[in-house]
Amino acid sequence: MNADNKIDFGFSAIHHTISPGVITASSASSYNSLTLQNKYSLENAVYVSHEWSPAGKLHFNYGLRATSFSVLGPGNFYTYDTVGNTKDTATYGHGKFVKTYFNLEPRLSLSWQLNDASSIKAAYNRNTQVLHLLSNSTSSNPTDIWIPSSINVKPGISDQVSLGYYRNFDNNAYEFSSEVYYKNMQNQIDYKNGAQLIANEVVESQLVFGQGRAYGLELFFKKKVGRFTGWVSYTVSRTELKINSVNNGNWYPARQDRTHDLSLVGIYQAGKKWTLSATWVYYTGNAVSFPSGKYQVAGLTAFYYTERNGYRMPAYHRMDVAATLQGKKTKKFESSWTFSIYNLYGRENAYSIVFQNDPDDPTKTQALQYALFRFIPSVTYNFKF
Amino acid sequence: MKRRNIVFVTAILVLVAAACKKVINVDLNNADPHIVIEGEITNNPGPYQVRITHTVNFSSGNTYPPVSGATVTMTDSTVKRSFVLNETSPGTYTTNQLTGIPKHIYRLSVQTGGREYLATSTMPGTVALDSVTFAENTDFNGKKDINAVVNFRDPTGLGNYYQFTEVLNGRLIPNIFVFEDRLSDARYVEQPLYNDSTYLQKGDTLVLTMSCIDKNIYNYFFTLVNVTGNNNFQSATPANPVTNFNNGALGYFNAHTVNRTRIVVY
Repeated sequence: MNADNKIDFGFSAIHHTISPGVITASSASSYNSLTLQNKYSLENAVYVSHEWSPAGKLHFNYGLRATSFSVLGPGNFYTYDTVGNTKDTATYGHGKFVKTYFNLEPRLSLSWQLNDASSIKAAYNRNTQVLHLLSNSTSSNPTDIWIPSSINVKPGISDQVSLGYYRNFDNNAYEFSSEVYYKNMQNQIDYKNGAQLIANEVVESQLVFGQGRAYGLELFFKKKVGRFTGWVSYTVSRTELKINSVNNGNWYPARQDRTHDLSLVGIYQAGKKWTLSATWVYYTGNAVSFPSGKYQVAGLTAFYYTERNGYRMPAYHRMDVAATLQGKKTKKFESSWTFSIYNLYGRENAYSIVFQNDPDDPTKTQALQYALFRFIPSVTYNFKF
Repeated sequence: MKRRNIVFVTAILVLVAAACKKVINVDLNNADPHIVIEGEITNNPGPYQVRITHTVNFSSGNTYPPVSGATVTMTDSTVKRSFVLNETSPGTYTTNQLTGIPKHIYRLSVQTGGREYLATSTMPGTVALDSVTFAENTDFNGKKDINAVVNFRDPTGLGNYYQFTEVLNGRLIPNIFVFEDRLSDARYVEQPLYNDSTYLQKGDTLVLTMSCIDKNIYNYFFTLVNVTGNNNFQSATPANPVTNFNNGALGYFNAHTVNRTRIVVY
């Protein structure tokens, strides 16, 4: 509208078709061919936002997004009892609206320029998520399953507030920022014990629902001028879930919860041609479930688990170094060689830890750690024309 | 100059491929001991056994203390008759007084330490095992090994669950193999029994047992695989198997049919 006032608006409509899976079996196979029924849905949104600077130092950006997510036929729609058995089946025809979720997603951010060098920002926003990825293993998998929200699975909703303070020093030679945030999440999904996710027409009966929350502090400091530049960033945070049938209904850390996350990067211009750099990263390991005891059934050693995600993998840290040699630079062509070592001190960062009988001594059990990479030196030639 | 390059490259390769698997010490909590009950009843004549032990700490040796002096009762709920089991050796309770009948509902009660643990299991109807054949299989490492193959027709109608156990030359193969007809209803099933621990060799004597089990026992063994030490697929959320006992007991009570074949591996 004018330099201090801007309005954006728009709309979108998406029709989703999800095919959860197909089994193709020959007539001689032990398995039946199976096509899981497709899931259809319609996602509409309309939004409006306003960017406004009422006084030179204060800027507002706020808006509202209204979404509707409709579950469509054709198909069979199941409801389940608390144990996971199918209680009811409803059949809808092509194009029929089975259930619609309306959600409003307001967002607001404001920034206040304290002086030339510093500012404060605050923000609030609400987001919804209508498609969900089900993955029941420690790393992602081609057999992970997408499902849309449905009569049993509500869209995930998150509300986040954040407050930050930003400051530059020495005429922008140094940059500092700090931010705290708190996020509240609803309709989070987790799995029943022994969940059967593969080729399951009633996969929603394997899911349990609850809430989540995440909060943290992020700090960042950067030196931008001089021969030596670099930055350090540190985040301390917590992400946890609370689901009735998991961990006795107590809050437990999400698998990807990372308490400490620290990165240090340094770049040194050693001469006209050489640039040296080093990076050091450190972060807390994933929250995992380890056994607290063992017993024997069916001739096998079995492990006994108590709390969910009550233990941590060992902390991850590594240092990378690199040296870059700048080649001759012309208007049409420039090149460089980079010599680097990933994981300079070769730390065996744990990828997974498994528990088993000691293969050399059947009267004992042991923990076995798998690591992926130790030192990886590399040489890279870059060119641009 | 060339020789130095080769040594240099080899040194790099060795560094990169260096040992990535090692035994570590993990500081694990010690949970209170939990009771573990393993009981079964079959449609073959008894005796039937119930074994009761305790969990131990992870760092202890693999000996599990038996629980003596428990009161163990097995009931045929369909005909309403109960039988008390006798402790024939520490932690092992036996009965010879009844024979399991397919389609009957059985209940096991264990009273010890001031608590009672109950489990119910329904013995399914029998399903015929047509034959056991053998097939050669090449595993991930390129090694060829022989697997037993079970051949049978799954009855029409979902809800059939099976368990297979193998005893090779008199020794039980420590492997869990359960199968459900969720994706195979009414098919003629030819299922190889893969196992990682024991190699079948031509001339060995194999006693293969096919058991029809109920849904709870299928779920138990299916989820047990995730917490045993012989498993290559670690779940992100290991959890104690879904037991059919109440009150915090670990283990299972399995009422199942038995179809046993003795065959020489070829």
